[in-house]
Amino acid sequence: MTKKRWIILAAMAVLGSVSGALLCNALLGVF
Amino acid sequence: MDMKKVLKNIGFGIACVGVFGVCAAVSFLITMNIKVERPYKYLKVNEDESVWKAIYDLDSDGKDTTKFDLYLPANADPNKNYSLIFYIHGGGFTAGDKDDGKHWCPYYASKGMVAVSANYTLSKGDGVANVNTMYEELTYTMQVVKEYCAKEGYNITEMATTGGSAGGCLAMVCAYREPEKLPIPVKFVFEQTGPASFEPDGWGATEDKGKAEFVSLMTGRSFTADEVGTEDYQKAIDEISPAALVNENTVPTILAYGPRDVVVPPDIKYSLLNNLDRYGVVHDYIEFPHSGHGLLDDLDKSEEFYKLTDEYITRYFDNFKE
Repeated sequence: MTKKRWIILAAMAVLGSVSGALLCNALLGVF
Repeated sequence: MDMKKVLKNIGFGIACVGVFGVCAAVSFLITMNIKVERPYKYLKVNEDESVWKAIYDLDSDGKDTTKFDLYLPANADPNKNYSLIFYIHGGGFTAGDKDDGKHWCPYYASKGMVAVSANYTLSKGDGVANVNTMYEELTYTMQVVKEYCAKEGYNITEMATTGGSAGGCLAMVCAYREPEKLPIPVKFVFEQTGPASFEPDGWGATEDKGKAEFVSLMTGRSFTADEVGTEDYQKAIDEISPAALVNENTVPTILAYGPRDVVVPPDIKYSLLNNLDRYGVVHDYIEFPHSGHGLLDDLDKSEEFYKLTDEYITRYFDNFKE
């Protein structure tokens, strides 16, 4: 796998983590 | 582009979605665990087994749905009187489990009280299990707890009821409804986000048919649209509504609510607060300004709630009066 693709995968991991945390905060904020 | 390259790109796309999904799920669970557990840091527990012990899944009336967990100071002193903290879990009257008590009960057991986390038969949405049957089951469990503890050398002489959400409501109904008939004298209540009233208007029911269905579901009584507004219908609502059960003899109460709550309409609490004021009942209302139903976003208020509870213990429990 190319270096570029590793970077994209890492970016997806970061985005996923942030999205998960934000979604959890949003849900628990009201629930 | 040859077929091999296309397949490689598709594979990479799937890998990206997979990594995103897995990381999102893991992050969601970690964040949830941290947020849910955070308020309990104020209930620091001495983990030393010589201080407290737990006995799980004890029978109440023989049903699998009404078992209870008992948290006890490690060594019974037959010459001492004990105070009971009776915890009732939440879950919208349809879900939840006594296991929730593991957050609260060890704290009180480690401070020398007996604590109980009790199950009650959950509603399946058909009205068979309802607030009235839950009340009957929980008050029966109180009697069983008293007798069981007496045999083990713990003489219980007083109690406080507590819980969150549906459990908060049931804690109030148990303490307010007919306190003189309870097997153990109730001295105070501390509750979080418990529905204060089952007046259908407060829950968004506008038509008589919807109101009758809602009240039938919660009370276990059968009402038609034509009966809405009758004396019998109102009495049935009042019997399960903490706000309507308040009178001059109501025990002191600590209440906590979050204005961002979308599960229990936040405005319902005012009928309860107004009646507590009206009858001069000692109470402390703690608002969690940034929180919803879980009261998870105001740690300073969580600390205030638990500290105030400790104060109520020394103020209203005869066995702990300073």
